[in-house]
Amino acid sequence: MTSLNSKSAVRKSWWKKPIRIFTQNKTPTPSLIVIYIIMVGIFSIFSRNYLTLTNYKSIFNNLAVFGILSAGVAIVMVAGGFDLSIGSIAGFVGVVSTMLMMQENPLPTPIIIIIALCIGIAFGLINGLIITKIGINPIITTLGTLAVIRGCCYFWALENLRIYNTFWLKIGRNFIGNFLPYTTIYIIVIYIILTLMLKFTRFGRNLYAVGGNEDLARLAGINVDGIKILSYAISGFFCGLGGIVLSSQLGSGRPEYGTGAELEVLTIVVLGGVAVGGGKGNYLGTFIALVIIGSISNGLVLLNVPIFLRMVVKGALLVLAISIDALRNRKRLKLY
Amino acid sequence: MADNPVPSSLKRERKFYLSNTLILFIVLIVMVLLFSFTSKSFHSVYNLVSMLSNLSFIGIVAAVLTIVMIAGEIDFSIGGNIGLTSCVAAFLLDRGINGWLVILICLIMGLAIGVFNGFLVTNVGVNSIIATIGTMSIWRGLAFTLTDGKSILAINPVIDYLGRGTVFKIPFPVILFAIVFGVCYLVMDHSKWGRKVYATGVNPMAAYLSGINVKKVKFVSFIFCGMAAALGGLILTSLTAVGMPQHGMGLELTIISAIVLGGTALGGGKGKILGTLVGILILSVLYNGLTMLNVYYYYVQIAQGAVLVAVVSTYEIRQKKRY
Amino acid sequence: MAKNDGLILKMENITKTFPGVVALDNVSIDLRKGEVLGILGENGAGKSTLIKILAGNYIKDSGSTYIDGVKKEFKSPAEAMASGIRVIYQELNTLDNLTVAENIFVGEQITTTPFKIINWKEINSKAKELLQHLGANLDPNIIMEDLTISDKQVVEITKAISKKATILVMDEPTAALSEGETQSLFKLIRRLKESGVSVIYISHRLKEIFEITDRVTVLRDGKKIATVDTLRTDNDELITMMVGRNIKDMYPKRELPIGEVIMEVNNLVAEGVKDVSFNLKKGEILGIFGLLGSGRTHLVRTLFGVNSVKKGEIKVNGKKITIRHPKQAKDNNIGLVPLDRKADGLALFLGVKENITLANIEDLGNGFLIKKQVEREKARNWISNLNIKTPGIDTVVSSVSGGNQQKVVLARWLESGSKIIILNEPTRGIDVGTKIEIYRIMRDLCEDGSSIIMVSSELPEVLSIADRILVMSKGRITSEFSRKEANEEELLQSACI
Repeated sequence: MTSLNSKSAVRKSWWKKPIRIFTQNKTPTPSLIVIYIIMVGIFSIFSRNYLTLTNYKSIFNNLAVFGILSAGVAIVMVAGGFDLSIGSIAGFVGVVSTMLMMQENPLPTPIIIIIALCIGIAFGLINGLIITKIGINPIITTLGTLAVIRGCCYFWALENLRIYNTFWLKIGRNFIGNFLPYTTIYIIVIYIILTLMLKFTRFGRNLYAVGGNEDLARLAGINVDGIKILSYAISGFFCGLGGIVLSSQLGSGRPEYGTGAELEVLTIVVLGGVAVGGGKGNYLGTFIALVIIGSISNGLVLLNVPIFLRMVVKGALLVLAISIDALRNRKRLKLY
Repeated sequence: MADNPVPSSLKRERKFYLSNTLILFIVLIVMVLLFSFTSKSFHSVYNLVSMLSNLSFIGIVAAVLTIVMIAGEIDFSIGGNIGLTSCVAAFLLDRGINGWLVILICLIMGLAIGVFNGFLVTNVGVNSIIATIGTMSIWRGLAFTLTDGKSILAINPVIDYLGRGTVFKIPFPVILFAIVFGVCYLVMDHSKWGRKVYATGVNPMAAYLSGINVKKVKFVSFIFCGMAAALGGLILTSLTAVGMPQHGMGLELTIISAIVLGGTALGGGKGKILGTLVGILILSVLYNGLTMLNVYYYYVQIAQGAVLVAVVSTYEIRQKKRY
Repeated sequence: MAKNDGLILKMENITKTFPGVVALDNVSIDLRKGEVLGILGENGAGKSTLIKILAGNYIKDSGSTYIDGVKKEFKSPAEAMASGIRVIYQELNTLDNLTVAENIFVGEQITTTPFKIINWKEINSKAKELLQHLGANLDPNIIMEDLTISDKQVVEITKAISKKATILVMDEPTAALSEGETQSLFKLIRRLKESGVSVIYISHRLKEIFEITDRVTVLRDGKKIATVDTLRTDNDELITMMVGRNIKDMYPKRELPIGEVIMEVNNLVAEGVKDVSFNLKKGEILGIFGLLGSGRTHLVRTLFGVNSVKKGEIKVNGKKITIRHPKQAKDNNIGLVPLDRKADGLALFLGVKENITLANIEDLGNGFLIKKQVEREKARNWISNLNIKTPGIDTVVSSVSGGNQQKVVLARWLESGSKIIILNEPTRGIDVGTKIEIYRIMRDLCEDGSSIIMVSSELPEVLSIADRILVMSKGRITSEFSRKEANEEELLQSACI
């Protein structure tokens, strides 16, 4: 059906050609790898410390929280949804966990972990239910829950929220043999499991179906609402996990933690190939995008870029990522 | 689930809309009464003036953002815009630049921001939600970078008047709001360009094939929005007498909530400026009332989020019931 | 009460009313096992309502449905599907982001125990098997996005069959197909018949009805007029049944003076257009006939400024013009009634009057503002001129029937003062009665000095309405005929070069 697709009708500007190379492919992965290599090259030129083991340990450990959050958000977006509340959920989980650990006779740590994960799932379910049963647009819903949950963080938080629980602190800070962070293992394991899930389970394939054409999925007998709710619950679970790791790495559960996480996670997920409309995406791309974003953050610090400028760079990166996504996924040439 | 189609005539849709506005008015009145009874300071003149001024600067941005949303897009970067404008204004004033010049520069900057947003959305073709979430961060970051995270005093006779002057005892921002709102209403409900915006929102392809330059329409609406946010930023700077990079943080939620409350749908093509007015009133009263009751800021956030979800829920449920 | 009479489907005395209109009035149809039953009727005759009831989307007010002798009540599409009923709609419903095999098995992906893991090997091989059973040689691993509409249709049919459809309903299946693809489809349908599937075939194309159906049921105004054996009826009889009046010749004859050349296209090269030259004379209807992929729509898009001109020129009234945007086309008094009126032609949530004035908003008042009174007058003017049936000028245009929607789009260009109007498949999906009205409107416009370019793939239409016919194939014009010279065989031949 070539009559409706056309690339040649675009007035070619010289700067579009190189971009075209990166966006022509259906899978972004090869171009992402190229971007990463180029980037590493640039950073290592400007900073001698870039290509060191210490630095890489740092990069990978810092990736942790975003990597975990991305895992969940990717699932939601493949099914066509959106979750802006991830930062708030993670923050809330951190606050509650810390407070539980600060009690006189604290519950055993594994129980606290389970509670934390359940809280994440619960919030995810709430998001999912509002979106499916009441029918409010996911952006508005998660915008609302973002605010409400963040407010709850401050509502419940006490003054001095420090974590002294050594087990907890190990979760996000330990390394194997002094070079491989635990957190990287978590991420790799999670991504592999989720990839297998997406490829080899009905639920996984149904996620793509729902993201691709919701009405058809419904007609085919797929429980669309159930799938969506479950996807949000999964996202909530990973927010919980992310909150655990975040509080572990930062050593406390302050109510403001996680603010603004949506921005970077969205950048990572979109850059990695999960289309904004849903129905596309895989974890290999997400992982590479994660490493790219993490490396950029790290590079900015090494290059002594002032802290506020980094914020600008992050925003610019998101804009870049989504521009590439837009150019990549233009199904029909946008005439208007 | 079997459904029977309801042949919807415009008349029926109007009825539906009116009843929604009715709900909103009732909610508004209930809230005003509640707060009046529970807080002594709520209906003091001072509070009224303060609330109206706040309402005005938010309302200016909301009115113009409604236009963008009717065109089928959205602008999340308004908060960042406000912060950046505020910092730039204070920065320039600090260096002795003339107040009028500062206003001009800020408005031009707002225009530039609108151009950038518009370019991303119409020319590159990025989804406006994500694009403006991204640019929001850029503007906010620039604001922080400019002032190195600190606040700068912004005291200047011209700027002061913007937020705290009065005309016959009416705060100046309210006058500005009335003007901006009136213009938006006129444009959207009665002007040719407004009709083009509605057409663009309902079916951009059909509008394009009817000779409407859809890209231009969207682009222009983003420009107006950028300038409106800049104006809002100036007013806020004047009200607080300070330029802070944190200005406007979280405002996206409030403003978009107000617009959605007022009946404008995210998809475009549907919406009324008048609805936004009611939405603004409700949220302002809510915010103000809760503050008067000394409610902690973050609880207010909870309330805002909850109100948004609750009211939009009722819209959705009512729509479902009809079928 | 089971009735065993060889009928796979029997719908008895179905009545369905909506507020203000009786959609179906005691309609009964029956379908024999292994037959192809055609359903004919104008828009508004009740065809789509009947099918929606059968498919479980609507609930009937009264009447009964029997599937293979057993009475059934469908409260949802799922229930209908469970009874073996599948509908293939005109607008295909596919998951374009997934593969062919996944589309066929969506929701029921084959798994192996333990753990219910998806067995890709089996899914792909089973899919290939099913496709080949229907004579299609598609690779099950291709992503649907990359397929043509014709292939996608085959996949949908395969999907329906894989879910054990016994009654397959096809709604205007050939609307977007070329002649060759239509024949492939018919081959497929015959194969389905052989394997015992019964088909309900809805189409406006009488030629196809005669080619593929065994019997035909005609609906009109919500009532069933008759069911006849296809072999024992003819065009005139069917049309008479559909419109309730005897129409000897559907298409009005016209011999009108044709003036000077008003538009010239010289060596036009654009996307999908290889090298096209022709001219349009004032007062004439120029038909452009071609099959799918011939470049007709590309040509239309280029003439209207949607696609850019690579080489060549377009002249209007002797002056060369550049059109890079529909607005410029509009300014040159060119109008376009596009192929897909719902997606591209109408602002569905706006009213009839807003849609009519859409291309001429400038004239709605003197300054920035719109004078509502002016708009209302203009709308009323065109509604009466073109006989647009609508409850009111503010009626949301989505609730007006297809034929009248088409008139609204046409009115828009007349309101904008177009002298050259391009119509792309102007009567597609429109009932016979309104078709004739539109042809009459076209003729009247030409009498008043407008010129029309009509792109159509309906041979009878082109042969009867156009003064001159250009045939396009693969982006070029392969031949030109005057109305007198043209005949079906030569047109088709020319289109297949």
